Amino acid sequence: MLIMEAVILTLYLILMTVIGIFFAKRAHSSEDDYWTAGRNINSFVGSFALFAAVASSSSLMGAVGSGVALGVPFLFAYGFGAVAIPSFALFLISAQIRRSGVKTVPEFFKFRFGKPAQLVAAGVVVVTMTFYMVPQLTASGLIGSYVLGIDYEIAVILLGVGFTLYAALGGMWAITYTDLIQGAIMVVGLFVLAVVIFFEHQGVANLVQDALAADPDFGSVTQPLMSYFGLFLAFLWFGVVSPSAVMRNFASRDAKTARRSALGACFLYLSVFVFGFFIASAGASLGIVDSLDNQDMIFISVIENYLPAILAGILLAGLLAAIMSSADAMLLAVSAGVAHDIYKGYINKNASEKTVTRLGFAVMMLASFVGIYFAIDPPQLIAVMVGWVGGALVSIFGFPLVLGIWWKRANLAGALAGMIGGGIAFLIMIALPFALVAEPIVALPVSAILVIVVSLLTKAPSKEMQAEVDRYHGYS
Amino acid sequence: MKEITKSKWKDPGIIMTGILVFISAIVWIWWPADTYWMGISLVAWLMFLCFFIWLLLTLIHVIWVEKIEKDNGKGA
Repeated sequence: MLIMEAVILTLYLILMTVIGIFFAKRAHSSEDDYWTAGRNINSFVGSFALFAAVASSSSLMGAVGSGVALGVPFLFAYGFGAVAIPSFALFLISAQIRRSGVKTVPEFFKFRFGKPAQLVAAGVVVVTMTFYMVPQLTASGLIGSYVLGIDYEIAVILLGVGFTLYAALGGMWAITYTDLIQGAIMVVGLFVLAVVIFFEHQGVANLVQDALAADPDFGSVTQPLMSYFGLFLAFLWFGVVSPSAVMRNFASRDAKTARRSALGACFLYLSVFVFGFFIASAGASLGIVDSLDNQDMIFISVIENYLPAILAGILLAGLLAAIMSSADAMLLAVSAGVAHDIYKGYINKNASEKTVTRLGFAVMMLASFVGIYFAIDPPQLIAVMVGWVGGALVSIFGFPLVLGIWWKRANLAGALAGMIGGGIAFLIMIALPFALVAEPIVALPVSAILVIVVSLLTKAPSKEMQAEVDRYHGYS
Repeated sequence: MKEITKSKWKDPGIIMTGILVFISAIVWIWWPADTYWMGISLVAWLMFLCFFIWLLLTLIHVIWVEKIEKDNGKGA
C-alpha cells in the first residue's frame, strides 16, 4: 500500500461525504432543489461544476493514455472537440433550453414534441448513463487498487458505494459544491505536474525531443482520419446531448451566469488539454507504455515518476474526483430519468415531491450497483466505452434536440424517427468493421435526415407550439 | 414571421456555430498529416491552435449577448 497516497485519498473521500451529508437536508427540502440546486449557483462555482461534470475519467486518463499510445494528434483531436464542449452547447441550446424552463433533457422532449418522445428519451438516458457508470467505476477501481494495494474488484465496490452515497444523499447541491473542490484539485494538480515536467526536461522543445527519442511515432497521425473525426464529433456534441452536463446549466442563477460559466468551463478545459500535452509527452519519454497491462495507467506512472508522494496523493485524489464528479452527475441523470420523467410523468402523476425524491434515491443506488456489477469485469477499454456512450447520445439526441429548438416545423414523428433511426444506425455501425469511435459520422446525418424528412411528410406542429419555439429565442 | 426567421439567422449562437464549423472544416479538409514542426504533425498543431480559437469565440459570444441585452434594457 502507498501510505501517503492512501491517507490523502481516504481524507478526501471523508470530506466529500461530509459535504454530501451537510447539503442533504437542504436538498430534500424541495424537488427543484434536489435536481438543480435551487437554480442558485454563481458563475465561478458554475464554471467548475460544468467543467467537472463533463471532464470524466476519460478526459484525464483516457486522453493522456491514448495520446501516448496513439500519438499526440489523437490527444489533440480529443481536445479539438472537448475544449469546445461548453461553447458548442452555449451557442446552440443553452439559453433556449433555459427559457423553456425544463429540468431534464427528456422533459424538453415532452414539452416540445409530446409524451412519446419523452418516454423514449428517458429510456435512452437511463440505459446510456447506467452504462456510462462502467468506465468511471473501472477507472476508479484501477486507481484504488493501485494506491491501496487491494484487489481491483474490492476497490470498485468500495469506491462505487462510497461516492454513490454522498450523491444520493445530497442531490445536485452536494454534487455542485463538491465539484468546485474536485475541479480545483484537478486543474491545480495538473498545472503543478506540468510545471514539474517542464523544468525537469528543461523546456518544451527538449520534452518533445525526449518523447520522440523514446517513441519516434509520438508526433505522427497513426489512425485513419475517420477515427479522429468521429472522436471530434462525439466530444463536440457532448455538452449538447449529455443529460448530466445540460442539467448543470439549469443550476445557474440566471442566463448571464450560465453563459459566463460556460466561458469559465471552456478555459478550464483548454488548460487541462495544454497540461495534458506535457503529461502525455512525459509519459511517452518514459518509454514504458508497451509494458503496461492497461495503457490508461500511463498517467498514474507519470504522477509517480515526477511528483513526491504527498503531491502524487493529492493529484490521484483529483483524478478520482473527476471520476466521482462525472459518475455522480450520471447517477443523477438516471435517477431523474426514472423518478421524474417515467414515474411522475406516466405511472403516478399525483406523486408527492417526497415520494419522487425517495424513488430517485433508490434508483441511484440501483444504477450504481448495476455499474459496479459490470465494472468488476469491464467489457472494453475505458476510452472505447466512453466513445460508445458519447457516440450513442450524439446519434440519438443530437439533431432531434437542436432542430427541436431551431426549427419550428420539427414535430413528434420527426423527432421519434430521428431518435430511433439514429440509435439503430449507431448500433449497425458498431456491429460493422468500421474505424473505432467513428460511428456518429454515419449515424448523425441519418438522424438529421430522418427528423427533417419525416417532419415535412407529416402534420406541422400547432400554431401554439410554433409560437412557443419562438419564445425559446426570446421572441414573443 | 419573416422578421423572426431573419433574426434567428443573426443570432450570435448561430453565427458562432457557423464560424466554429468553418474553422474545423478547414482542418479536416486540409489535413496536413505529413508536414511536421518540432517533430509533431502540423495537423496536431492546427487542432492545438483551435483550442484558443474556441475560447476566443466563446468570449466574443458572451460579450456580444451581454451587449445585446444591455441595448435591449434586459437583465437576463
